[in-house]
Amino acid sequence: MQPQKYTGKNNTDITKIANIHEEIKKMDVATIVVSENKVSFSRNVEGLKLSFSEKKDELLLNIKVLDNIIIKNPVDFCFGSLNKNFNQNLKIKFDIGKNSYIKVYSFCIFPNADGASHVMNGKIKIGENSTLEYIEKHTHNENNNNLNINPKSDILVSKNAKFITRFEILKGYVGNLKIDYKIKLMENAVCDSNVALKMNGKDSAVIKENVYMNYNNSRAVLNSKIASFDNSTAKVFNYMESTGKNNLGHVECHEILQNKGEVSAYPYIKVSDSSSRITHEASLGGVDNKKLESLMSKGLTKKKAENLLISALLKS
Amino acid sequence: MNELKFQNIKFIKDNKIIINNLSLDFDSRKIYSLVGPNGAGKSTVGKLIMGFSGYNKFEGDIIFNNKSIKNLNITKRANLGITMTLQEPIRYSGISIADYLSINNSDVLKQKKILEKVGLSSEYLERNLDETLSGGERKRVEFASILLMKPKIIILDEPDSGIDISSIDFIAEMLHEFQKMHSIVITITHNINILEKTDYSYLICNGSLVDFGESNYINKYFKNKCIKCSHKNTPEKIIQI
Repeated sequence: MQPQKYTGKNNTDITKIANIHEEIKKMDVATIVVSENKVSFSRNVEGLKLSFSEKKDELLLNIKVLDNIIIKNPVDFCFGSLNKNFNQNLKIKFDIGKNSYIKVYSFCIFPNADGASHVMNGKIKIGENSTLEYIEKHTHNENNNNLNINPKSDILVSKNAKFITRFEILKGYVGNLKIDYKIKLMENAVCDSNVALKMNGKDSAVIKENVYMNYNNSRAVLNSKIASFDNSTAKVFNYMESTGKNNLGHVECHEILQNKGEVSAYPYIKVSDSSSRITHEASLGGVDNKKLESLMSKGLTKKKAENLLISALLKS
Repeated sequence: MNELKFQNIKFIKDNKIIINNLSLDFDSRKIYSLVGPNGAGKSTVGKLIMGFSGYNKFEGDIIFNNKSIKNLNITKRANLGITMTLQEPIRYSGISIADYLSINNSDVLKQKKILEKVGLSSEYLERNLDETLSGGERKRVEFASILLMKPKIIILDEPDSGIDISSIDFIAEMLHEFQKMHSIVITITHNINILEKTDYSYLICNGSLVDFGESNYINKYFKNKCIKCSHKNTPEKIIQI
């Protein structure tokens, strides 16, 4: 199948991203480019096996990293559609062997989506002493929020392994977002999860992240940063439990809201051994007035100072 | 020459008189101190000049270069050239020092030079203005931003807080740098080491003016009377204008 041609028309950012993917195709980088439920391009590198099976309404994707493999260049995933209506259903099985490292940039690009959905069901296993960094960046329609986004994953982080992830919407409305991650940490495993969202209009987000530390010496951080404008709503459910010894966890949620936005945070932490410790920190409300006025005293307008603080929150 | 007049100000907060019929004059020929015990109303004077929220309704007027600034918001005052550094510089997670210094439209080269001037290497540009910096480092970044902004009025609330005693000379150096920009420099302090680095002082107690004059003179008064005073904020002597 020929790679899709991106003319960009009214969206230069999408053209830029598409061109980056075109460049990536020429490089020694593992990549897979998926338009709706069809693969338009894929390439493996040594130690990495990408295979797929296209069904009528879904795409099954298998990614296997062999033992003792360091994937030098970040792997490029591009899941997108330039259509308005579509249902993208991805079932991804990610199996990372022992003593390996892989970093994935997953670009999800739906610039014209209007009545569309992107569902991702992931099963991820990170082998002993291995690391997976998974950076998911979305670009959505800037004119409407009629889009359902449902990333759902079960993640097993084996002994001494690390799972680092970041989810963010780079452009456009968030739409109707439901994140559902279940993360199990084995002995001495690490999880660092970050979600950053800027929500507008009638966007809604429900973020559920459950972390289970049922072995010893594991570390976990769940971090959510949300800016909610207009009539958007965000609910963050963070569950973290520790039944093992010497586990350390932290749940952090900072949400800024303006206008009629509504944000809520539900941290639920559970510890059943005194050698372990889980903390949580949450702040919900308007922009910090002291910070705002301090920036205004440097000459910024209120609007510019707010924007700077909001982008800082999402970056931090 | 820039001139600022704080005229017959009465400011009430939570049913308490914080500033009571206070008048102060400043110009860009001298470096000023507002000195007095904790709770005297010194920082309030700065916040009233800057127009922070909760500090913009008062009796009297604030005149800058012959024009009232009473009804201007913070940004408009800043655009006239008024700025204030807070006692504890704010931590901004996610904002790099380069971002912060760019507020004043400065380029990287200029930012690097200014950072050197305040004793920070250019590598600091990429660092975030958050808790990973010490209080002293954040204070130095504040001074760098003032040097780039080149304001006409600089209010420094407790410039020595969060930095070690050996940095007092650095603050003195900065005060003179600010004066070279023909700015009105007002330090708010109860530290006699800072006080003696300034030219002229206003001694405030309980929101009123107790005394004023050359900083050497006020320094003696402050050392001999105020520091030992057992009834702080209930002064025996009030200057009636």
